[in-house]
Amino acid sequence: MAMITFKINRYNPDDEKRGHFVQEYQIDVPKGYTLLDCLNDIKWKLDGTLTYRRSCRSGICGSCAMTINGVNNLACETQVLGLNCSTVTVEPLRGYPVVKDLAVSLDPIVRGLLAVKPYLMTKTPPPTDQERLQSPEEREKLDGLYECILCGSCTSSCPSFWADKEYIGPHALLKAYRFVADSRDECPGEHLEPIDDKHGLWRCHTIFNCVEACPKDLNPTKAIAELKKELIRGKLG
Amino acid sequence: MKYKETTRSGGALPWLFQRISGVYLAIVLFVHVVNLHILIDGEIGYAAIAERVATPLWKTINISFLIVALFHGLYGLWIVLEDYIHIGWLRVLIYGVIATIALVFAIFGTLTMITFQYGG
Amino acid sequence: MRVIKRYRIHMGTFAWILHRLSGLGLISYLLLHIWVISHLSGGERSFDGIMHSFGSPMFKLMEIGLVGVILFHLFNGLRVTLIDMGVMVEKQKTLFVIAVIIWLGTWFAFSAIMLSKMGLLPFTV
Repeated sequence: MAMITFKINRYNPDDEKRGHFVQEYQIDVPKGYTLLDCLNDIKWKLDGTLTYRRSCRSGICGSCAMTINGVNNLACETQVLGLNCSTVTVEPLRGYPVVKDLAVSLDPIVRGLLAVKPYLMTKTPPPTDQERLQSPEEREKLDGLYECILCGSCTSSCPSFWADKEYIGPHALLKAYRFVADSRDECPGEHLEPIDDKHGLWRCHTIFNCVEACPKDLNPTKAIAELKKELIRGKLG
Repeated sequence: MKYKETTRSGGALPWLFQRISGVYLAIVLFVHVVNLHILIDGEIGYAAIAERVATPLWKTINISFLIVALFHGLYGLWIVLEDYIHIGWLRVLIYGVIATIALVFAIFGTLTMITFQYGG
Repeated sequence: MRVIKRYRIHMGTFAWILHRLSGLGLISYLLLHIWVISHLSGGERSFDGIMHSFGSPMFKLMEIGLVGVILFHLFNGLRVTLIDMGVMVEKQKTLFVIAVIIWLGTWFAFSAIMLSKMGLLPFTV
């Protein structure tokens, strides 16, 4: 158990005059408590107005992504005593419009995601007697790509995104590669064309913040490198 | 949904050439620095370099070195500015300024090399 | 206020910042350098004149700094190129550490030789 101070960024859209401000809460944190457990304690016992998104509390829904001590992560996967500091700063995900307190608008994520056409695209009709087959080796290529929970941590951590809010974002590029790398997808060009743009993958400068931020340990920069190679191959013919 | 403003590429081939020119410069620039700061003794003056610079071989090397370095450096500058400048007309203006600087310095440097005569 | 804590600067972030700053510094230097070398067109006196005005020990020390900036941009640039080719992307931090070690090694060697030529070392290299 330890007394931990939480400095949480607050914002109420119904109180524009107050704007953004920081509120401090102090609670006794037992061993094993995640940040989500702490937020729940604060909300249920101290301040019912504290607003944040959460659902599965087991690191799979992606709802509780936020900026904790200056790094993006899921609140439900962050061990507060493991942060090794007596003051924890909790902010809504960097770079997205704040709806209320720690809840942000994910419109920038959705926009980028839909642009890459994030669904299997085929030209040939599916077999009538079975599913579209894939060898184990072909299936292995999707490891590290399909597990994305769309939490938004990566794009929120990207300096290129901070500089250019039109940047499609590492999350969308990872998703694009998930389909380009899928042996069953027959239209890679459909996923590649929207990202070949000045607001597309050419804004990636291999900064690697996304890799550090991803709570599922995925590597968007690696996927982007493969996409760049695909695009160049296409241009050189 | 329509995402891109244009159907043009976002810069695939310049991106590739930036890497290729980078490797080229890594070698040539390294040799250049070794030449000037390791192999030459005393102050670097006319006497130390002029005879070599006057030969057609070195003129060619120097001009190609200049053009590639100017491209790599100014395209790098453009990429940095493109990250931060999103106002349409300002982008076009800055692109024009950089392109002009590239042209002016390329011509300036090339002329220096082409017209140089030892003892002139 | 909107932001309480600056977003953490990881190793990759740091490498990018330094690469950007060194690049901007180098392009500024390049344009100056082209102008200086153009004095060749004015003949021996013109060229030696301008080279002499950059001959003081302070400028010589700045030259050592310039060599350091060139070498950093060079070795980190090779790291970026490797990553862009898809080579060792997962080991980008190791690549950065290696690049820094090689950078410091070569810069040290260059500096020692340059300082010795200036007579600033008690021995010659």
